[in-house]
Amino acid sequence: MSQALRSAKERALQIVEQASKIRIQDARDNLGARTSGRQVRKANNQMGHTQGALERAAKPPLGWIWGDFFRPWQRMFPGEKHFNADINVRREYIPLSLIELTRLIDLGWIDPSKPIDISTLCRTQKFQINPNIRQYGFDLTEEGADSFPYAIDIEVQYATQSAIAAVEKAGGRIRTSYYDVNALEAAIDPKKWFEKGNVVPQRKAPPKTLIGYYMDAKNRGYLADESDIENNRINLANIRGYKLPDHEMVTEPLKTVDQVFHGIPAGSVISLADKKLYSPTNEIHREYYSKQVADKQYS
Amino acid sequence: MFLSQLMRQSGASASAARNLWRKSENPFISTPQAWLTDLEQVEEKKRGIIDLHPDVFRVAPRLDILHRNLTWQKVYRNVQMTKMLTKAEMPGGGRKPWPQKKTGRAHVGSIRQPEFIHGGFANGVRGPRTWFYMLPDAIRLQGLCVALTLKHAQDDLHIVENMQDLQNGDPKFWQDLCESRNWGYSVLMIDDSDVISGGLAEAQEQLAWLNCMPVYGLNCYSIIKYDTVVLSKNALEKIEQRLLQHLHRAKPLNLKYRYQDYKEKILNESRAEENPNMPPIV
Amino acid sequence: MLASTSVSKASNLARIVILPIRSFHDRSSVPRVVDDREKSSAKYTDAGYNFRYHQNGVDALPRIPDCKVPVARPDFKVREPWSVENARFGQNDYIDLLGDGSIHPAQLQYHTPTWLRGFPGQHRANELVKLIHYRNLYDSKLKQNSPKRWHELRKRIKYLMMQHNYNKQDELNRERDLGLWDEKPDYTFKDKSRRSFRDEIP
Repeated sequence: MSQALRSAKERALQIVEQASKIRIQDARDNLGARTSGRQVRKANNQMGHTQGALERAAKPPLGWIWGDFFRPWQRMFPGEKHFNADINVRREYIPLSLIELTRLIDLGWIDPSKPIDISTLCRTQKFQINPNIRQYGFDLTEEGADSFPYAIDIEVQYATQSAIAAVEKAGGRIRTSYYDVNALEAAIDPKKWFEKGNVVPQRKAPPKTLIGYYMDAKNRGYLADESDIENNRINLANIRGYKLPDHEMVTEPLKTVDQVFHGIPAGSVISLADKKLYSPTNEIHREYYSKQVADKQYS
Repeated sequence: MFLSQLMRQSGASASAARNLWRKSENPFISTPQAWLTDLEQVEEKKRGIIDLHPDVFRVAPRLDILHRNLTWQKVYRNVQMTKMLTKAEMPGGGRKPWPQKKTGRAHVGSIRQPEFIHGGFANGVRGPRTWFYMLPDAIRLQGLCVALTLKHAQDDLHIVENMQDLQNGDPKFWQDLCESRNWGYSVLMIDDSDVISGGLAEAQEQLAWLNCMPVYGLNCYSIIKYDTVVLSKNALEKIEQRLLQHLHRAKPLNLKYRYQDYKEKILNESRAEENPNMPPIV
Repeated sequence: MLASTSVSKASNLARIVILPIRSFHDRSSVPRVVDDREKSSAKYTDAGYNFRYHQNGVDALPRIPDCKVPVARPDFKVREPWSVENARFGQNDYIDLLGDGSIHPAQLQYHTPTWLRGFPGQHRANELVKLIHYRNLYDSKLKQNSPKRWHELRKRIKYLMMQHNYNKQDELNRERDLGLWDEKPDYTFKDKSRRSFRDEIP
């Protein structure tokens, strides 16, 4: 107890214990915690008439050159014509380094024995993905590739070769897969999605420019052939000079091409209150969702 | 300190052991304890000792944090409905009352100028004015913990087995009970469920100083305002669970309150209050 | 006994202090021609004011003796800290933390006009922002059913705009902190309906 009493907290509480009852009027701020603005003498008070005031005041429009409102700088000298021309359609991927991932697993935010996908990563609340500003998921980068210890089953949207090598060296499995905006929204916050009563969507096929990436076994794309991927895995190990583990460490089945959540087929509705999954009964719906040939997606 | 010995002397039966979620392993942090009593009879009978979570009931007594919470609770609900009309909003005043020059009077353009007696107001109080703001969750959580700690440290926090369906609803009985247990002027009863029945419900209708609240109604202001806070065992469990859950949550604790996030919900809820044709006055 | 003597002494002292001393400064150093020497030398010595340098305490307020009309004063306000609403003051302020998370105290501000519930207070969102919010919600209703108020609202918004843009230093630079809009605008947003066929879509 004497040890405990040494802490400032216990000493403070001892004072409180001996004090009279603490009432509303006794609670007050620390001395000097909140000060009103510094008061200056009248002689020094500038009353907003200073250089600084002018600097903070309203400014002329951007690019305005003295005397001409209608020909601002950027119109007179337009510069490079197509600089950032595609900024409104460019995709953004949130970088996730292997060292970050290791730390998340170490701290218990992520369970390495279960498959890791967007939902798992977003559940940690350490990342924010906003599909509305064209953020399309995670990019696994190679920081921490030298010492990545966990055999994980991870699915990201983009991965470098070094990151792929690091995951596979540790005995894990990595796939890159595409989420369209709708599927991404469901995957980011499944609870919100289910509570709204939305149908679990189908993942649509990637756009034309990304098909090549996701069909390439080198990138461990989810559209690539599994045997190709296996060959590439061995190949990469040979190139990089590491030894693959003898037996498969990750044996769970992969998500299907159109599946957003593990274990939940597309087209079903989830009731969190009843803890039940409702599959479509209508024959047309069932057929539509069972095709597994995702709709073509434009842009 | 030596509550276990005391307990043996008083013949209490229940044990203190409770599973405290995510309790620190630090051996220098002592576990606060409280007597477990009941409300069946006037005299206090000690049924046992109960462990309290040190992260909730033994935190640093930060009176400044408590102050911020109390100030927030008083201020954030304020609304001022005064609207002082400007000269544009007052009727009339379109005509120049007298010529600009040669009358010897002030040069005025309207009888509603702010200098006039029945003129409009310049820089007046405008419209429904609110002082709404939300304290960060971290501050509010800490405020609750501080308030509970203060009550416990000053021996004003009591744990009872049960509050529901008590036999005696006589106000005299409750007055005697609080008197004999030295519970001070006012008592706040906190229970797990939001409906209370039995003797306590009858008594709290009669007695202004005796009130019941559900766990979600708990707040710093009431904890400090009432002389004594009495928790039921279930309420204790729930308070600890909720507070600790938030203290250890994955989301950051300094999340900003954004009107944007609640706008739709608030406006949808209040749709019934609105006139379908007319916009609200002020 | 002692006290009363000391008081009388003090009042005697005070009387001694205001003995006829020429106390008004009305005489310049330049000699003047006066019509009546007596008149000019007979000065007011007492303007009805007692200097109370050495007199402690507060003077009694001026009252008409034996006046039956009571002095106007605000009514005594009876405060009832244990009336039903005061005894429960502050209940549910922490409901978002202690409840199941479905309700927020901003929703429970039933005494506030609906359009201001949960809206940042005027110490943060100034009148202009508030009025713009009102206009955004009720513009069509105002236009349709209460054109005078619509007109006045527009006048006020226009006036405040001018005030902020020309007469005030820029206070609106932190408007995005209010939580009314996203912290950062989507700089790259282009209206899709206006998208050109020349736009490069990968």
